[in-house]
Amino acid sequence: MAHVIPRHREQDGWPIDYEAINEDFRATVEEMEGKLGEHNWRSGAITARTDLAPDAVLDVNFTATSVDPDLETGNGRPTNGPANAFLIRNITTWQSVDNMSATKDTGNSLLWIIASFQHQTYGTIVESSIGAAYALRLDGQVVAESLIGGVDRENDPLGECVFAQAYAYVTDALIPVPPGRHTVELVARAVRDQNYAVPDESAGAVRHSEVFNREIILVTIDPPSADLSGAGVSFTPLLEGDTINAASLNTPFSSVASEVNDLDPPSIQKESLHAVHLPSMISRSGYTSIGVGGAFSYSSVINPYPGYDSELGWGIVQDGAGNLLQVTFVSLDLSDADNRGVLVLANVHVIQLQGTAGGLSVTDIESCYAAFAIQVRDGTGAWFTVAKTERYTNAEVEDPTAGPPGVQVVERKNVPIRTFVTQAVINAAGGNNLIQGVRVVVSLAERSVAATDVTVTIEEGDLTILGLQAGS
Amino acid sequence: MGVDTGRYRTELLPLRVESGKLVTPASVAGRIENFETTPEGTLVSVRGPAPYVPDYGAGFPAYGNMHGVFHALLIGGVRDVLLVQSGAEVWVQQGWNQATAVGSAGSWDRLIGAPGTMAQVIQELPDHVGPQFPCQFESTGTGIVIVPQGGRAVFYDGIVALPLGYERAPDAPKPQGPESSGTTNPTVNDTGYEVRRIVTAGGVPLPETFGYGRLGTVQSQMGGSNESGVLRGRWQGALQWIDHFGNLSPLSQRSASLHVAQQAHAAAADVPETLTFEFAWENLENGPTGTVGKVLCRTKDLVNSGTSDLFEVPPNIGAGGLSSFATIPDNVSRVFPDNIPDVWLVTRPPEPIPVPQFKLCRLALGRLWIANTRDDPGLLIPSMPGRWGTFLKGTEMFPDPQGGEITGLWAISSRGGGALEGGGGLLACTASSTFVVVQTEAGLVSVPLHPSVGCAAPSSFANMPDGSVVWLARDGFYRYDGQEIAFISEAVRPLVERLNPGRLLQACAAYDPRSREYRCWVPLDGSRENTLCLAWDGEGWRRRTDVQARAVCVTRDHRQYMIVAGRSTNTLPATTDGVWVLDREVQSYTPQARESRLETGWIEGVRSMERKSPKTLYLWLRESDDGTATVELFRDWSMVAAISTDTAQAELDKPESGPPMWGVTSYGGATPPNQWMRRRPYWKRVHIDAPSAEVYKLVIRSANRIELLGVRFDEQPQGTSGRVP
Repeated sequence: MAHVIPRHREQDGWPIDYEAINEDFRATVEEMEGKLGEHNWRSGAITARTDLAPDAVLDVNFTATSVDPDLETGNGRPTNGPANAFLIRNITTWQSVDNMSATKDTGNSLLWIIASFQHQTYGTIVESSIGAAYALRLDGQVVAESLIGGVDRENDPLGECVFAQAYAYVTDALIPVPPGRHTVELVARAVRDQNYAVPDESAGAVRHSEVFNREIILVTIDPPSADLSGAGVSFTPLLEGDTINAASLNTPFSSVASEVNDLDPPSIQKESLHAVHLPSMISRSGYTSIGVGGAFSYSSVINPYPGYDSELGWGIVQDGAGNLLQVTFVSLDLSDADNRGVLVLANVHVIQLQGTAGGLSVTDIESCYAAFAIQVRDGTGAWFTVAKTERYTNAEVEDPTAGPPGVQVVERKNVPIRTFVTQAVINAAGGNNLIQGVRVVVSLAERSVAATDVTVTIEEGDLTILGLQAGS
Repeated sequence: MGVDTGRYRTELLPLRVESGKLVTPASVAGRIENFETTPEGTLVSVRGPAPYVPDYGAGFPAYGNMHGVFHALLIGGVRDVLLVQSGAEVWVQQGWNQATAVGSAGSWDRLIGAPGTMAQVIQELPDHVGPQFPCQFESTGTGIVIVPQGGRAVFYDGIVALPLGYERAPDAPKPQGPESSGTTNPTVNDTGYEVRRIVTAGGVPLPETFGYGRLGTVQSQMGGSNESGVLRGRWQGALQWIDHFGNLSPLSQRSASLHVAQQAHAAAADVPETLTFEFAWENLENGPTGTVGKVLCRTKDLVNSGTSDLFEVPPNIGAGGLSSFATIPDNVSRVFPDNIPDVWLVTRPPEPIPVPQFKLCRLALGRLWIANTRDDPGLLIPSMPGRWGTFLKGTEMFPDPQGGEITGLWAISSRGGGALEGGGGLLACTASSTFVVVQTEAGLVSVPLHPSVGCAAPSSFANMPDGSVVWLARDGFYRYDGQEIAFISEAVRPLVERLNPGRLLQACAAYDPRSREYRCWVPLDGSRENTLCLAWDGEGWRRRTDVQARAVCVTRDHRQYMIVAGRSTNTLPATTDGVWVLDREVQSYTPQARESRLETGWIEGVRSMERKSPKTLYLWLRESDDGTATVELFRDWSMVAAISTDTAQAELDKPESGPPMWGVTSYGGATPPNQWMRRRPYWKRVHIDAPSAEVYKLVIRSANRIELLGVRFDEQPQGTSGRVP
């Protein structure tokens, strides 16, 4: 709890007072029976991360779904409803996105919920198309602050939903929760159309939105500790009549010393150890950003989309001055139980995505796709694409119903990607157990012959990696 | 009285409390200095103090003038917070931080400090050593209110420290709405911020998806025509900040009015809502550090609604609706597009006042009460319940109708009957009167409790274990038990009259649960410092001089340490000022020797006409030291010279049968004393002689540790030898 100061300072010339000795010992023993708090530990008291149990501070749980959008074939847009895609029903109530939920037993914990996914409009955008709204839901309660879009369009005509043909989204939230079992989900809903009419949910009605690649990551900060027990201090007070000898003196000293040198969990008050006492749970970290003040373009001629889950043909996102959106680090052995995995947080800012030919129709423009993905570098130095991280966006026009030619907008889109890379993930991608690098790559899909070539201009990007020691 | 060979032997005189009266019962001492009672019922020399923060290798922390100390448990009892005001800074203790740099603050971290100190709250505090109240603290459960004297109050929740509430209002927002280039259709509402479904050439049409603008009072028939339209209208807005702790700022001044001209439809078939507007508010000033949201307030249509009140504007896009904590849940956005119709405005905003600079505060009746503001010393203001830094307009009160300066606040609970029947209250004292603020059906009211007893020192209040409250007034100590105010320091009135009245306001006190004493440090004999501690155990008084306390607290955890910020007397100069734990000692710090002194009263003053000759003193002691105490005898009301002084007979141990001694005993010995033994009481006889004395007084003093159970005397009565002129 706090500093304990003995009551008695025995000194020469005083009667030896065993009761005073007992009282001073007792004060120390009592602290060690569950009252050792933040003041009792020196700053940096625990220096080695691996001295802590993997789940001492963090748990990380995640689930991901891989969906091949069939982006490389030339039918003008990704396939409707590919395997594992989630089609959002035409209802305005929230529906849980398949395989985007996690259930966790927590203590008084802080949950960091991250959902990263690919939104795709089903079919071609027409006047009756409607968008979708997304949100995180915790224990049945939608987290308002996590809404992508809104719940109505009161003050913002564009605020109720997202409405784009292809767009990558991330929503996350930090939420303190009480002890118990908690379920987090990504939920989605259709919205009313522009005439505020309820969408058609009848059999055979066209669905409007679907979710492709997706991943939900749940970081539990301060997970519940195991119900560890301990015997505590075996303190035997001095009694009147005991012989004054080494044994009787050593007994209380040694019992306290033994406990100090081998404290059991019940000795320590909960939440008493924090940042000043503990080592970081981050085994590796890295951050880089590119392109502030500059821009760089890629072409489908040089970096054509190589097909889903492929390593070839991607270009590394860079700023043109040799600065790559890439982080390398001392290799981390993901097969080690102390290394739960690497959390990757990437953003790429797209300024413009377009076909080089002039006078393109709306369809031609909207058939220009830029794809992004995370690649990881294993212990051999080879780079592998993490398929679940593939995200893409397409060029847009001001008015999909107008033209030709379509009037292309300046995109200014952020393409966010979040993923968690574990041993299983890197192995599935083709790598070994070691990870020593992460980068963001880009390729272009030219799905309309008329476009002749697709270019994407990227203005900025950033990449953060966090190697985490955590439980699961 | 017993009789023994013609001599009287007095009964056992326990001598646990003192009196300054000339004539007292023999069982009451004349002075008990630097003694405390023990759970075993003895009187033992005061020990300690011990420095709260030890020397980690480069000396003790470099303390300045100490002005305050406070302890609380925060964050569900997890965070153990000890605060002190040292010089012009407020520090928080961080036991994990063992800084060893010479001249550093040791394990203290700056919470409030001057620019350049890296403190959480930057504030130039005065380091005034003149007469002033100690720094005031109050724990609210969620945090601590820190009231440095002469500074701005700060709230600290164990992690975040911010100034308490807001001391000013935001700037008024600037409205954006339609303007008129002419006076008739279609030249009204045709310029400026014209955002609605049907606009003129310069406006922004709302798409059909959006619906309609919602502002503007519509009428289906205007004038003699069948045309519908909007009526002439006027709106005003205001802004309010909300901080991390939920405190609200004063409302800004109202904005300039936003006018809408009356306008009818050009086409009678159009619905009137196509002419209604969306407004916008600009110049939403960002709040100071700690602000987490902005509450935009707006009137309804001042022309047509019938009310000019302000209402809170619910936030945008349904994210929380009326339950949201602010219209704008950030401290960044400076523009708010407002399409909230008048009918959605239902909640009137609280109207706080700027938080004034004040000297005193106390939590009572679910509110934080602040008093003695810089501009109005007699003012008392309650906070909103739970919002400890939000004080509403119109709730101020003057407990003393004459506006006397408030010098003390204390929360009291009901003990049945009296002014507190059915609930608690707040004691509010001026220097010469006492009031109690209670909750009644009529609201919070101040009721006079005593017309002539006030409070001299706000930090002298303490609760006794029986629920009563004790404090220091100008003429001594008083106790309020829920029924009446009683004077409790009659026995030590001569001592109280020696207190420095000009410095009484700096007295500080706390109740020590272990010794079950109320202890109050006061300035004696014109001193600038609180040089004397008066201790009251519910029965009587003692005194001690181990520390000069500028402030004192008792830790609110299982340790219940009494901690003093001040000066440890008789210690090395380098460690004079600091934070001390009383009644505890450590091997790493040795206070200089301090004398414990026990004087009997004048025995027996009521029989002074009858002379007597004390012959023998019996000391009932408990083994405590291998040294001796000095015994001095005085007679006939004179302390000029002792009749006898003995420094040898009053041995403080009993060598023939006592426990072994530290420093001379080897453990593992085969012969006694080789066993742990309890220190035992014993009697010691000291020969004294004061022939034919009217009265006599005994002084027992020693820098060695003394543990006393009582004294007795053998006395030879001298019959009728008394001479009466």
